[in-house]
Amino acid sequence: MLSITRLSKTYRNGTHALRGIDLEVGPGLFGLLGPNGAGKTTLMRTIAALQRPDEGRILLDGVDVVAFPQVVREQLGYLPQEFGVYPGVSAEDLLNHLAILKGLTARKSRHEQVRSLLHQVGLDTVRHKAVSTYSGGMRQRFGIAQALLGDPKLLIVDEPTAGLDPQERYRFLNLISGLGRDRVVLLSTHIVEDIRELCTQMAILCDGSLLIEGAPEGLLSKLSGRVWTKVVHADDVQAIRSQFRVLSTRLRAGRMQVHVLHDDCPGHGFSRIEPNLEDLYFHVVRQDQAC
Amino acid sequence: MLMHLIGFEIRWCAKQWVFRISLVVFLLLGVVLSVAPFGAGGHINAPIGIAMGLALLSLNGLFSVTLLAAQGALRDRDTRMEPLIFATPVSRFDYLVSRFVGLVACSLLAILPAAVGLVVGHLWLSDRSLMGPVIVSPYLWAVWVLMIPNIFMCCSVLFASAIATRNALTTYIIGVALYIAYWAASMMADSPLMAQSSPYAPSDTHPAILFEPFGIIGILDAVRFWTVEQKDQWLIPMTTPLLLNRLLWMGLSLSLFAFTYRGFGFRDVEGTKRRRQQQDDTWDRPGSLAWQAVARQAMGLRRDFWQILTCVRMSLRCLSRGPAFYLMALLWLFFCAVTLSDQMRGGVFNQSVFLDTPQILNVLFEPMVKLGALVVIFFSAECFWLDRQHGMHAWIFSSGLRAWSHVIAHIVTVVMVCLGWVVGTFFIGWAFHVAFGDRAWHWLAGWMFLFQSLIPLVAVGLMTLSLQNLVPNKYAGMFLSLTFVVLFTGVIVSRLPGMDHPWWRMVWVGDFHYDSMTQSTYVGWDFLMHAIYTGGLVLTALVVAGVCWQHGSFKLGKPVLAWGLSGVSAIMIIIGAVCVLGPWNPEMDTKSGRLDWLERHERTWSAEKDRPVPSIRAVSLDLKIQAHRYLCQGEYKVWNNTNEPISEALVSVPLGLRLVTLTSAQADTTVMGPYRRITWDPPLNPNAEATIKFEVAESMSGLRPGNPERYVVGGTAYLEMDKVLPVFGYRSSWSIKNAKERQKRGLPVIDDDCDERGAEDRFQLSARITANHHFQAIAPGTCVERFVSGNQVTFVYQSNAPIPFSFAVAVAKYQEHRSWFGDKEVVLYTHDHEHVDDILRGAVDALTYCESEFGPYPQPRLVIAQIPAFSSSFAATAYPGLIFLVSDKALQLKDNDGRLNYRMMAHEVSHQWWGKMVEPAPCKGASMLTETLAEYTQMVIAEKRYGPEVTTQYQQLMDPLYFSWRGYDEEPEPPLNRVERQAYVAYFKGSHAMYQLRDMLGESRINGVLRDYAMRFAHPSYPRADDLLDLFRQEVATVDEHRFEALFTTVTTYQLNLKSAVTERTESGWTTEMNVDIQVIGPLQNEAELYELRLVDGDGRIMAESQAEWGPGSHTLNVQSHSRPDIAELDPRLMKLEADRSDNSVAVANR
Repeated sequence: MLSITRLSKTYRNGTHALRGIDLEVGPGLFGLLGPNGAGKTTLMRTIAALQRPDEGRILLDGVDVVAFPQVVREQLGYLPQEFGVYPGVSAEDLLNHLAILKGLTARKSRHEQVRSLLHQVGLDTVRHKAVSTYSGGMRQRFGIAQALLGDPKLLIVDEPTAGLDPQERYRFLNLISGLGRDRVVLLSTHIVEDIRELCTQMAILCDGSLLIEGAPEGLLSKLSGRVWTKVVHADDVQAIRSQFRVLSTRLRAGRMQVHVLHDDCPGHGFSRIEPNLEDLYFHVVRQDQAC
Repeated sequence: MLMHLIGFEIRWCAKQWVFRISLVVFLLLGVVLSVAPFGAGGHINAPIGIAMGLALLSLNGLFSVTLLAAQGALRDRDTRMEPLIFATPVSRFDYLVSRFVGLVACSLLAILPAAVGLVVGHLWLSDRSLMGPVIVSPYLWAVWVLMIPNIFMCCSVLFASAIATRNALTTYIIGVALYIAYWAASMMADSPLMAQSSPYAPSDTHPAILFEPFGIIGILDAVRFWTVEQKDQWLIPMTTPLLLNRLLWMGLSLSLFAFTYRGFGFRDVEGTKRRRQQQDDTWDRPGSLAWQAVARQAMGLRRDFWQILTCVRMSLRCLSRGPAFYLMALLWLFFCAVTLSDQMRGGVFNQSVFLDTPQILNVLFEPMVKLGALVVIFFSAECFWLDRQHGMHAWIFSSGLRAWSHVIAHIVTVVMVCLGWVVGTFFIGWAFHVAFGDRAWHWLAGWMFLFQSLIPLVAVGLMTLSLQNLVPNKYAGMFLSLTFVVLFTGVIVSRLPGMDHPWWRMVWVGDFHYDSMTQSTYVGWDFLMHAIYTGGLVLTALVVAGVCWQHGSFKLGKPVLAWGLSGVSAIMIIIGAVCVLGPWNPEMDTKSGRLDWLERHERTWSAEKDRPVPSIRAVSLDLKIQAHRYLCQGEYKVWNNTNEPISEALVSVPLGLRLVTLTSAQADTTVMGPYRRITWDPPLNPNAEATIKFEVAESMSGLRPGNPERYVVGGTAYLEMDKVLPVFGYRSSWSIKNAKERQKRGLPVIDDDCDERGAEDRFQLSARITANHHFQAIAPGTCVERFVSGNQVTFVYQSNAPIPFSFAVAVAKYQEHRSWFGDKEVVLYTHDHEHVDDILRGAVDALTYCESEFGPYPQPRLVIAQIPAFSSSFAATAYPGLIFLVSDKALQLKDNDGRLNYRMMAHEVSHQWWGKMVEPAPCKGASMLTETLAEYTQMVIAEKRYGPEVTTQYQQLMDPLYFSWRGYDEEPEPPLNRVERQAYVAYFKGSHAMYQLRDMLGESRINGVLRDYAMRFAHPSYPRADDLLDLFRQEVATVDEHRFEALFTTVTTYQLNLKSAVTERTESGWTTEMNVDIQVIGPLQNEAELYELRLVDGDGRIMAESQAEWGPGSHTLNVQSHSRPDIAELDPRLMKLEADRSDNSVAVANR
């Protein structure tokens, strides 16, 4: 169980990255959504004990992560949003190196897991090639592999599927959904459908604040029956915006599909749809911006 | 557009830490330079001092330029801005020119403040008494001719490297390569800045002048034969080699920029990692292997060990990959090869030396440590930033790796880098030995080499890690580390008045001075004490870095750890300070402290100098030599040989020694400052005797600078006993000799012709010397007894006749060689086996010649003994019946034909007459009566053995040495008959003078005069130089009195120039017209003198010789020859003392 209480962080340049975050994360996949600069990466780095918060506490199974960072590191698998690799070092060697750093000093089991992970992420045949020569997708898969080294009780993955093609994405998502059964997996992504499909819990961050938290279905139920859609001419969007609360607009075949939040039918041509996470996300974020 | 870009570059650069630190550091260095100049003994603002100082600062500016170039030229790549910048429509011209101009402008702005600091210092901070008039032209000259071209050259070379390779490491390596080019050229040219330099012919130095990128060799070459007075007054001329050097490197710089411009494109460089990235994604079939959790090992030492190991392995792997690493290794190999080749070539009088372990390791040590510091700084910084630079830090820091494991991994990596550097260098030396070596390899020396160099390098590396942890920028950290090395290794700080204390030099232990006789370095294992001290300093730095955590690498999270480590470091510093700095005398180990002490001593005690003192009649010594100390118990029998009673006298031992006891049955002793006062009650009446017992002890510290006249290393000893035993009376040597310094401190001028105390009386010596039983003791006189007790052996020596107070003893492991001179024995004790025959032959030949020409040899035997190379201040020294030869200047010289050892023996043996049999009065000119006459004697003896041509060859070596050495003498040069400590006058000019005198008088007339002199002035007559000159004057009055006076009583040199020689056929053969220009520098310059001219053919055969009597000015002479000459020569037999003889011969042209 990961328990976050009144977590705040302000950078030296004055940016308030986190503002009193309170969060309870249990076993399973926990999705973090939020616009760019919302504080998702800061929150993840802080949980990973890579930086100290200004205020607040983070407890992992009752142990204070800020005071005892080594405890979280002993149980952590971390895939940062951006990372690099040592030049000229093969995937197998680098993974072995990281495995030893994570305390996998038993040679046989370490090698087995390294081979297994390379196989799982589809890099087995290129394991002797330098990771620095990998393409973006291959490198991301390597990053996933290193995050899964050992037996991480807390897995923090920041934009893990960025750069992956659909097939790779599904493979990864299947892998971590399997892992998420008995451990905490913190997943940050912009692909909201991933959270809908995988996460048992989710939260939306914006401007360093936690806007909403809960199970996706539960959160979506609050919008149930209130989301309406209509395909209109692009010139009409502005008029609709002025009358209704528009959640999103999307260009389709030269015309605009508009999602509107309204308790009853907003007008002619609108049809009721089941809300999705995107609707929820836009609803919450715009509500916050309006405030 | 271009101006905007240039402005942006300058503004960007001005914000960089490297620029700001450089600006401040170079400004301060300029100020420091103004009070601690790189002069040549004259004014501190002499043009050559200004030029040398600023040139050397521009050389050091190379490091700033390297960092600025790497930052400026590669910043797009480092910040991943390249795609954005390259996709803009900026032109190649605007992009490259703005970057380059920005780099040059910022480099100039960062480094030129050194000149400003120098001017400021000279105007307001420098000691006025040490300065000449302040004029602006030398500063402008140095800035315009040296600094600006050097900075421009560095910028273009490094900019081109950075742009061409897009690799910071390669750029650094190129920077180091430029530095190595300077060092290599300095060695090729035997730069005076290098140790053991000896002058070469100008034609030999020209390639090095051109090759050296910074023009420093060029300016040294331009003033190589200037006197100190000339250096103070004259602006450095733009000589042809110097001009060519400047033009060559400026041209090369511009060409490099043009080449870079031509080759640059707004694309990724072929072969870089981005191009090499796989374009097609690989994706294996879904795997059948299932992921299985693997439990981490519990935290503990075993896990830490594996984590440290993998970090070290990965760091070393990343640091050592790529062409830059191999390029650096090749550069180092090249540098070692140049250094060792130079060592094989050079030595005393350009004689090559046996290439063995001491020679190889001694010569590699200094550049290895100093260049190694740069390498270690670079790799330590790279190691520290490795994770961040490659974006791996998040993984590493979140992996569970403990902070202290990470720190230890960094430290181990740095140690491994240092170890690799040192071991690599050791094996380069070993490989060189395998290829070219002459003797067995001493593996023990390797261990000493390893430890003595490893400790300072590791200290620099760990200090770099600490500094990197404190600063936000790798380059700033590297620059701070460089500054640390420059400041705290004695290079800069110790040059400041009052700051030349060994505290400031404690990062380096000292030179690696391994000697094969002692099988040890001078430092020996004392450096382990130094290691504790340095370790304490470094640990302190690490603790500070850990407390002031910046980058997540070092973090002393627990105060108890910080306090604990602080305590450990404090204890180490205290232990180290006690052991390492204990032997130092804080008052006497700085120049200013020493001068203050000498001034106080003179003011306090000089009134005592007229007080009569007793004379020593007999000395009985019991000298015990241990591994690193000696104890000397002795007894003086003294008597009052004055006409008045002596009631009290001062007694002292040299500074640094401990006078343990001083007792006399007839007198009381009291301690008075540096003296003991001994009081006789009743007073010692004239001719009365007394006995004084004493005990002197000294423990050697390998960490103090070596004393070439007094050392015990591993049981091997050489002790000049006049520097050990107590002496009576006021010590006039404890006074300031420098006239300027005396004037500054208001001390009276010393204008005494003679030492006021007069010559020492001679005495009988009885000496018991006890050493380890493997050793042999050598002392003056005859060994009358030798006995072994336990593992000690004792030798009892009795002098054959009264000896002067100046005598020495040696203890070492020796082999004995014998020869005979009549019925007298010549015994040679050596450690090395080479040149034994040459030495014995030289000794016997010299004894035979001197006895037949100057009088009988007064001793029953002659003993010659080898002593270690630690006696670096002389090559050989003679005492009555005893001669000591220094290893690396005699037996260890390759000296293929043995002539140098032969000459050296002849010189030293002749001192048995010139110095011992005839002991000169301790007055000015005394060296002429010893060294000059010994030079003459060895010249004629060598000529008889090897033929007359060797004399000319010898003079060809002596004359340049004279001109080279005189350029570093602060005092005005005395003529021969007034020479004091100036070896270049007594030896080199003396040799020339006697060569000419023999040409004037002939050998038999000279020897006749010397025989007469030896008879008249045999001990105890104490002759002066003019006594001998008067004898010669009677002979030369009929020959060339003017020439004689010019040689012996004036300082006269010549500048001859054979401007042209044209020939035409005549009825009687060929007539060659030679045009000559003559300048005479000296008081007798208006006199006419004889000059020799010669015509030779292409094979060097003499076709015609002629003489002309000319005064100064231009002259023409026609010389007849039977066939057409090819070359005309002026003064071919080196009869005139001339610095630059390169214009004394020309090819003969047709009229």
